[in-house]
Amino acid sequence: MEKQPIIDFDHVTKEYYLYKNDRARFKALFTNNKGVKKHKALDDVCLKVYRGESVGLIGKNGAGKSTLLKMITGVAYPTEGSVGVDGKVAALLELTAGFTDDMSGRENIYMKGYLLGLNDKQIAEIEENIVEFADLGEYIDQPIRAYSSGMKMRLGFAININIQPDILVVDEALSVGDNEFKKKCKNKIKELISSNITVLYVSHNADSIKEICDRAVYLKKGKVVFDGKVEETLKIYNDDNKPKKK
Amino acid sequence: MVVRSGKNEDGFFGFKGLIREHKGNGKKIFLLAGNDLKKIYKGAVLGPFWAIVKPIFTLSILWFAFYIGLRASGDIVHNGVPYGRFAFMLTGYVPWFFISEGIIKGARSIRTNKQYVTKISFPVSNIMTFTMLSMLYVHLILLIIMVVALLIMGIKPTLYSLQIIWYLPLMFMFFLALSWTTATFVAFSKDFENIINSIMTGLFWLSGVMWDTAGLKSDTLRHVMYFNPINYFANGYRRCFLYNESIFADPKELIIFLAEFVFVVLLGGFNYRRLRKILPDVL
Repeated sequence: MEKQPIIDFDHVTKEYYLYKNDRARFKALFTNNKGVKKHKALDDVCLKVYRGESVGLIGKNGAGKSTLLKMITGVAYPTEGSVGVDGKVAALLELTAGFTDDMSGRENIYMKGYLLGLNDKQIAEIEENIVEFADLGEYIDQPIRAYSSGMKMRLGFAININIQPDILVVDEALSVGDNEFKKKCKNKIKELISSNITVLYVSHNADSIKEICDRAVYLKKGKVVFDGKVEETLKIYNDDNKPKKK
Repeated sequence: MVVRSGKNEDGFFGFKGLIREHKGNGKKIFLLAGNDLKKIYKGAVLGPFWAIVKPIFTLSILWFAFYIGLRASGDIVHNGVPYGRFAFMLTGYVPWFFISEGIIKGARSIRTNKQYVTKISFPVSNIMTFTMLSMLYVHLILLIIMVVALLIMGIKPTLYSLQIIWYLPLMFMFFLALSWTTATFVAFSKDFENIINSIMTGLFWLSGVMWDTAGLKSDTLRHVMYFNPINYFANGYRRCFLYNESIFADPKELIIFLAEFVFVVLLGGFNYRRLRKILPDVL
């Protein structure tokens, strides 16, 4: 039997509507977006990722990396084609999304857990791990409006990383608090990667991609330019983006 | 379980999608509904109790105005039977409070809960459900207060009062289905929010909350009023608690309302299916 991909992009095209102004947006409601200018963020992308793979995504700003990640996390939908995701996704993108300021850290763990599709029992099992990892001390029972932004991030990270995901989506530009905590996060990510989890890693840093991934995809203007071994992809990417000599 | 997005298998009216989005999410919805109440009244000692303070305050003023101040305004005569003006308004105002909040907050719900749409994977239709549910909590408390107030005025509940199990869920469903359209439209364009805010006061006076639409002299006007669904519920609550009439007392009203109900549900499903997938892109 052929191996089933855990992430499967089947000829995915994503178009964003570019409304000229509020009036155009209002009108579009009734005309079904006819005649509205469109921007292709992804253009006929086919991508299959198998369980246990670590895939790096490289490309310039606006190449479609975030759109691709958003579709994996189920926030954006393809205009054409389809996206299949087979497993629980932990996205280290919007760490504080889904928090309610007036509930305590602990209540938010449950809230976020429900939002991520866990039940009481599952959350209770990982609750202590989260509390320990976030290391917020007495603040865990305080409403999170009293948290600093760093503390919120820490809690968000701790929840996302502890839900035992099948797929981990990481954006390297992510910043989580001080250096000490950053190190802790990096170690935890590495630990997860070595546990046969599937990873999608977005970065501009060639070294960290080499370190983490065994496969890389180069996106340019919404199209997959190259998909293969990290070294080869990086080479093509670098050749393509050599600073032009004057 | 493979989650596939991109294929449209929800049918023209999108009900398969709506049902799928709610399946197994009951607990989450109830939690979020409670949370919604807590959120609005954050930092207040009385917390969610403030939710019932506002309608009770308004009602007390109405009571003062019509029971003490404007005694001369007299009773409301419905089908030849006189009813106290305050009892009449009370039974209209309690459903109206749910309806007006339901229309306004339901329409705003997606915008208010933007982060659930743009930042995490969340079944968007649940937003409308938990928003309406949080208002239903308030409504149930007001309903109890209403029954007690009526008792104090000497109006006892009867078997007809049990008809509330027809009106209440229907009212919830009607304005939930309405929010499938309004909330997605408001998410697209703020104009709709302004339109809705502007017509609310007008709706209040055009509906039989403060006066008896069945008492209209003109036949044409009386029939036009049948098309106002708010009227249907205001009169319905009075059937249950004041008039002691059956829900079938006015078949014309019932049929017109049910037709409107089906229309609103179909329209809501259609608009939700049509716009749901581009919502994250426009918010």
